[in-house]
Amino acid sequence: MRLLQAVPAIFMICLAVGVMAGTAGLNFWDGFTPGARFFPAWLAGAGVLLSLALLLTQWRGTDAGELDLPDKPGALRVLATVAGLVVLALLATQVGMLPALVLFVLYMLLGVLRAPLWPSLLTVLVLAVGIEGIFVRWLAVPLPTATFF
Amino acid sequence: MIDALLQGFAVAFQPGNLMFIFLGVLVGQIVGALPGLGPAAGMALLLPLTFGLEPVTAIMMLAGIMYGGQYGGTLTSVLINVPGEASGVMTAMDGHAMARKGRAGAALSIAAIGSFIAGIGAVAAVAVITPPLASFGLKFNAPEYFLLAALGIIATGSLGQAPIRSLLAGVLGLTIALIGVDPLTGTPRLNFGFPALYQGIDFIPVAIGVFGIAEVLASLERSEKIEPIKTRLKDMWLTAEDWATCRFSILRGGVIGLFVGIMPGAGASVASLLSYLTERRFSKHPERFGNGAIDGVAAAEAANNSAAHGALIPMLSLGIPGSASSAVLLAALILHGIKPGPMLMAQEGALVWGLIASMFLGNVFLLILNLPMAPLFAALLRIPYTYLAPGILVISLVGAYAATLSMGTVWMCIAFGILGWLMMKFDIPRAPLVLALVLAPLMESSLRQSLLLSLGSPMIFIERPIAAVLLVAVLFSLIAPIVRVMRRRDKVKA
Amino acid sequence: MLKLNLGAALVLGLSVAAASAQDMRAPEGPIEFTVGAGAGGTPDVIMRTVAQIMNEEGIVENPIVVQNRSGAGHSNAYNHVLALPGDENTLLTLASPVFTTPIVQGTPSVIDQITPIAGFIQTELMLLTTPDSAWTGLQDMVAAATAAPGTVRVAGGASGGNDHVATGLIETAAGITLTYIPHESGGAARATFLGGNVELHFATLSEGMEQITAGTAKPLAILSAARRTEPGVADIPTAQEQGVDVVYTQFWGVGGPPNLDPAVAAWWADKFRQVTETQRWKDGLAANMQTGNFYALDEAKTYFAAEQETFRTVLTKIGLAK
Repeated sequence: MRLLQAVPAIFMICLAVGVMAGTAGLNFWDGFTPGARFFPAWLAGAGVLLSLALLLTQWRGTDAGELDLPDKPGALRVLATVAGLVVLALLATQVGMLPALVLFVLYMLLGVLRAPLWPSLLTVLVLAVGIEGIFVRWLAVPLPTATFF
Repeated sequence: MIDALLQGFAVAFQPGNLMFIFLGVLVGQIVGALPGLGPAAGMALLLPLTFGLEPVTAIMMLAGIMYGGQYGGTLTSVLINVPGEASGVMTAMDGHAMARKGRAGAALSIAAIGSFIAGIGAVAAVAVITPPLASFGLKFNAPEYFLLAALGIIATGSLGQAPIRSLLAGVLGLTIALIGVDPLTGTPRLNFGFPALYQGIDFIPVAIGVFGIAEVLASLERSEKIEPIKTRLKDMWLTAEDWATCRFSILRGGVIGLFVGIMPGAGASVASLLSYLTERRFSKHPERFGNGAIDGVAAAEAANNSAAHGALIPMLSLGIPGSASSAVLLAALILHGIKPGPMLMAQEGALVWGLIASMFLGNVFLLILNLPMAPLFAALLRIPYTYLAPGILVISLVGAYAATLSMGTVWMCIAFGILGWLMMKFDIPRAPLVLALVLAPLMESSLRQSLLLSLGSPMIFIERPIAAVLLVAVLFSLIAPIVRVMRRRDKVKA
Repeated sequence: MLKLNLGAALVLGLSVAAASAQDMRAPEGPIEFTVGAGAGGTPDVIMRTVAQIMNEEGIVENPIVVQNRSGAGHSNAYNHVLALPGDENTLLTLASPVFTTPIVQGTPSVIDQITPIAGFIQTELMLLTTPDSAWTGLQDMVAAATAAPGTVRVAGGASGGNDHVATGLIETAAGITLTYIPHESGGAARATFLGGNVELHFATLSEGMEQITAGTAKPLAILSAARRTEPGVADIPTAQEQGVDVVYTQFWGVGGPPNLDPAVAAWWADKFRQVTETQRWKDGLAANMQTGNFYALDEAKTYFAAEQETFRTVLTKIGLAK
């Protein structure tokens, strides 16, 4: 449990190291103004300091934050949703944005959330008509369409 | 001047114009309420439709979209915690907290009333004192912007229960903003060779991901049966007590918003942040802020609406757009064959005064449109969350795509959705991240511009009077919390 | 594919019949003008005006949409068009970032890959100073900058943009060093100048005349080859007259995706020429004090290539080229 608590601080320290490494080739000072590396370096420093402070308060038990971990079914649902979103983004450029959205909503309602069939179909219909009407027809946004036709 | 204004009203009251003002604010309301698409994007998308109209009518309608968008943006901030624009972040903080307590209707009502009062006040200021205000705005330049941005970022540390956690989130936001190119010289920085990252990471996918998508993920996770937010009809309306709490918040927010709005470099987001922080500073119950403080919503909304109007002052009197949406308005002027610039008010008096008059009317329309609708919109939350959740996800992603027309934005929304969800799990506040992201480029480039202006001398922050005042405020906000901690220690010892 | 070849063969056959006329073929369906600037930027305004004239005057029947793919120094826009080789329904707006961004980022030149169609509008620049400045001409400024190198400051748009290039050209021609202060937009730079924070600022002729009329700026020079003829502007001497050999104009044009059918490119070039011949377009140019030199196809290619060389030279000199 202790280790999990330390994740944000450790993440920020790694990030700071990454930022320093990633900006290695840039100038810290450039003529008489700070260069491209000036802000990154200060931020990395501040990040490390704050992370250490957070670790210290956690170790002494004066930290006010608390972990809020999901239970197993909850975690699975989140994972399923994220996977759905990724597939949606991949499919959007293949079968078109709108069909991909319809598939995603059906997957979410029927697969992940186990909603009854008819209200789900109604939701899909309302969303599809709304998006087509507002974004495509009215605002003339060129949503991705299918590539293989 | 009164004559000119009356003539302006005569123009605005022509039935055709009246209709297009209404159409404009209605479109603004709708476009503002779509996550991702703000008023600027909406105006750009609908610009071609105005080509057939008289210039005055077209400008009145487009301006209607601009401030109508501010009202519309409130809807998504409060109802689904997705600020459509940077200026909506502060509204989302307390507005969505109110919605979770079943008080969405009250939050929407006070936002509409606050926006209305501040909007009318700002329009009056535009009408009466545009030239002197414009030259006041010019007194703000890089050194002042740097200190304002620094003030904002330091203050984000106070936006949560634990300062360390808030500041850490702020640092994360600033770090994300480093990605792309160095804002001043264009040197590629931290983009790891991905062309998609050259443009840096925009506010829209971060806000949609970290707030909107993360919120949905967290709600989906909570339990098998997702309870709808309880909204009882009697909680929908404003109470006398609400109004008493908010009166002066609206006034203060409106004034702060106007002044920040007329600075060509700072925008509605800085305005709403500053006025929110001011409210909390002077509130008798600062602990309510972040947990559904109605005066926080009122102040933030008043400030962003009056800033949106105030941004017209440098545009009309100097030809300098003070915000993204006033830049589009400026383009519309050019496309309709009108040359913006310092001579605009003298040469196109009828148009400018017609526009000012139209903004009075438009704000009245918006109030009439929003007040009765507030409970209705709030009732949207009575739709079972099961059906709402996929809808929020889908509309957020389409909105994000529409804002940039790039799938890269959609991917970023998903990535930041995961980050936001993790932040919720580890109890790291999310608002500081988003605010820092907005303020970072302003802070970095204005620091470097200041030192270029002064040819390297840091004295520029002391020699300029306004900068000196701001510097004192920055130092105070840095030292005050340390002193407070030390005093608490002393008390413990004693 | 077959259909396309057939079409090309058909056009080829026709061209043999009418040997002198250039092959032209109209694209089918809606057209996208891809603009790398946000709504309200100069390239955006130009392309919206063109689209408006094309559709309203019946020059082009296909519906035209101006699409802002802004950000990343126009690279969102040009990458979008570069990824559509042969596409007949998308045109890229050519503005200086399309040339400079690849040079600054060290990526392959865009202008060498796309199909040049036309360059059709130019804007001359003027150099302004503050109204209460003691300088009366360019040489006063050069003298001040020679006496104290780096103390004369210029407020301009993005790093590597037009204002920066113009600054670099003046530095080279006069042998001086200026301090260039980049801003996120031209408007922000103007605010810095109008606030009296810097000595110099570049403006287009019409913007500059607005400032001069309002008494908020004083002209030092125009960066053109010859003086303008309009009253008021005619009094402003060129930089060359004042012994600083700089001629620099901003220009905009259009190009098609790589491998665009030459017949379609020729058709577009003809349509853009027709637009520039309308009274509406000419009135617009006159009102904004812009010039309308027209270069099409091969001429445009040569013109763009020469401009690219200017950019590369200057950007290398200011140390931005990769």
